Amino acid sequence: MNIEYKRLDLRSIDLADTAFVISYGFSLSILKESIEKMGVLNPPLVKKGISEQYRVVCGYKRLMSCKDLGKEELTCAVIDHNIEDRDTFLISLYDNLSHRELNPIEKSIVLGKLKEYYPDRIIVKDFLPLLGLNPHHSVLLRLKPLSGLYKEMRDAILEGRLDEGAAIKLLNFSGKDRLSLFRLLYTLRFSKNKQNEIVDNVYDIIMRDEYSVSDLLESNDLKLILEDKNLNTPQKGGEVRRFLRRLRYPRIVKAERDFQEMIRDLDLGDSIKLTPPPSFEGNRYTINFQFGTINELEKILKRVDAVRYNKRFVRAMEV
Amino acid sequence: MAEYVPKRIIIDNKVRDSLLAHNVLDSLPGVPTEFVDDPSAITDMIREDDDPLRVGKRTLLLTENRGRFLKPCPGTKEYICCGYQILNFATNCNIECSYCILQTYLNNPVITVYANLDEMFRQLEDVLDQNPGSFYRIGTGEFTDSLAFDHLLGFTSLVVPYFAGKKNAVLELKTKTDNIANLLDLEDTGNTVVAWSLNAEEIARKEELLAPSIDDRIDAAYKCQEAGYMLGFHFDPLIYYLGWEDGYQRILERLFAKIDPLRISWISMGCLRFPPGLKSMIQKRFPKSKIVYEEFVSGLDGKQRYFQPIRIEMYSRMLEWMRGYNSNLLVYLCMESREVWKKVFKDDKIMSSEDLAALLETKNGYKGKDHQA
Repeated sequence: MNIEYKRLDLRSIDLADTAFVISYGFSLSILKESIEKMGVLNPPLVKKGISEQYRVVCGYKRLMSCKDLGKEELTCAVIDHNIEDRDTFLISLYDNLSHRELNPIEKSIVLGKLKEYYPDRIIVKDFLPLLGLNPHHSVLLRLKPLSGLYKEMRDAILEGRLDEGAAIKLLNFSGKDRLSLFRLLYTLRFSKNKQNEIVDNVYDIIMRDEYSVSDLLESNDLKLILEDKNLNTPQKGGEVRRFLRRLRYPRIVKAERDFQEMIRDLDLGDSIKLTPPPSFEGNRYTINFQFGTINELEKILKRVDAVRYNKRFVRAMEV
Repeated sequence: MAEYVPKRIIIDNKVRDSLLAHNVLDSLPGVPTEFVDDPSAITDMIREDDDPLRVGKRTLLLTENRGRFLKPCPGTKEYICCGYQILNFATNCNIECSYCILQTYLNNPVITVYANLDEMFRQLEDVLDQNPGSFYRIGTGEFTDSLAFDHLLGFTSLVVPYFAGKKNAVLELKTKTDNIANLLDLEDTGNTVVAWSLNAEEIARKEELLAPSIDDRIDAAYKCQEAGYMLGFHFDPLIYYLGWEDGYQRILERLFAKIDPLRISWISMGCLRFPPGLKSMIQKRFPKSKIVYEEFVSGLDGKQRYFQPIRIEMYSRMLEWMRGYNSNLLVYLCMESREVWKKVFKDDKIMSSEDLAALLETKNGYKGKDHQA
């Protein structure tokens, strides 16, 4: 590859042409400070386009910094304009991979651009491992759409405030609904697992009941929770989860509530814990208890023994 | 139902001279056919397609089964299993059922037929003749539809006469199709039960996209009944939806209007259940389907199942309705817990897989039409 070093007017480089650019979610402040103090140590790589303008291949952040700093010209490495776009993109990709790890949004950008040049089969086999990903088609399907999310969602992923998996699920919602639901997740600061639970439950409810997301998110019940001044953020989050779970699993939630009521009736005290089988599947109930003295043990055993005569418990075991 | 015609036939050179390969080639002279030494290269390529199942269903591969043809049904110890044996002559199916577990269960998306039948019969002989004291209920409809490709393969013309001569086995051909022409041509139908998977009409229409209508299935069952076959029916998966009671009652009404209960070897019921990974597959491939949005819990086997009271309600009502037509029908549950059995049947006769296997063996299954006549 022939490279020619030229002093170029910054205005002759088309910074809006990001065909070969993969950087996302960066800050220029340190780079600008470095350029101010030391100058541009590595010249950016550009290619002459069809028009008179040069296209950015590598060094987008350096060029943006120079522009912000008001520089008018700088030395660039110029490659042959006959190099195919596909190969030009590979130069950019390998250059980036040689000195840093890409973030999830950048990986998604790369996959989207590779799709212009390669069939999925090749992307999965050759490029996913290069990006540190498992070479499975499902990985490609999962990651590729991330770059199409709204900017605030992409940024939330990079901040660790939005789970990638939940973000991908949000793509199943229309634009407005996606944003409303994202803002709910963001505001209530749910953990990654809980974000997924919320998105799954909302999706299942609207699919089953033919609700719209706005019907659900603007419902009075939810508004009351979100506007309750007596609840802090985690408490609101808990209430929202419980509200959605009641809608998604009405029978299961009712069974759980009935069971808890029955436990209260049994008056087992604090040292005895009676647990039903998970999801009431199977017939293995568990009783745990703690004691410190023989006298305490005798009292607990009497209480435990009474359980088997409790009609409500016997009936519950039969359901 | 339109008979299955693949868009592409792949024949493994190892089975190019087999009877099934000849039958397929005679039936489909115009379909592009490739003879290959290594079919895995083709199946690997299809697996990498955007929609491998769609491409796989259009491709018919004939190859050899290098493993065991006869295997126990992959039940789990947590639930009562009927002790079925699967005769694995083919995998995959062209009928697009949204709930089909094969979508995630099988690694190979291509419709694959194992054409080394000499080996299959040798293995069957080994098992059946060497264990004359054991009884085997054998089915071909777990990893494929037993009859979906029979117009191409003529497989039933080989296995039905074979089982007619066996004293310690019954063959169940389980299907959603009306592809019974070969069966009706056979004379000795003993020890073969032809079984249909049935569902409420609404479910069949929305979730079993390429399957014949329920009426067509019942008509086909009637023809098999008249040809001397014993019949089986499987309400599996039973699917909960608004109006399920009416939907399933209507099907039972239509079934028993045509079918003689005395010709029914068994009826099974099993509520919808699926491994967790199937949910996203159904959402992707069948976006209009709503079946995954009911109340599911994780079963003891890790599969998603309806919350137990829903299952008990569905089974109990179905049993009550079926027994209304004939109180002696042999009805069993597929992969259910002892608690559910007890609550549905209101007794504790079936408390283990052994109990169920014994019931199916001794009641009326293997004795075939002579027993019933």
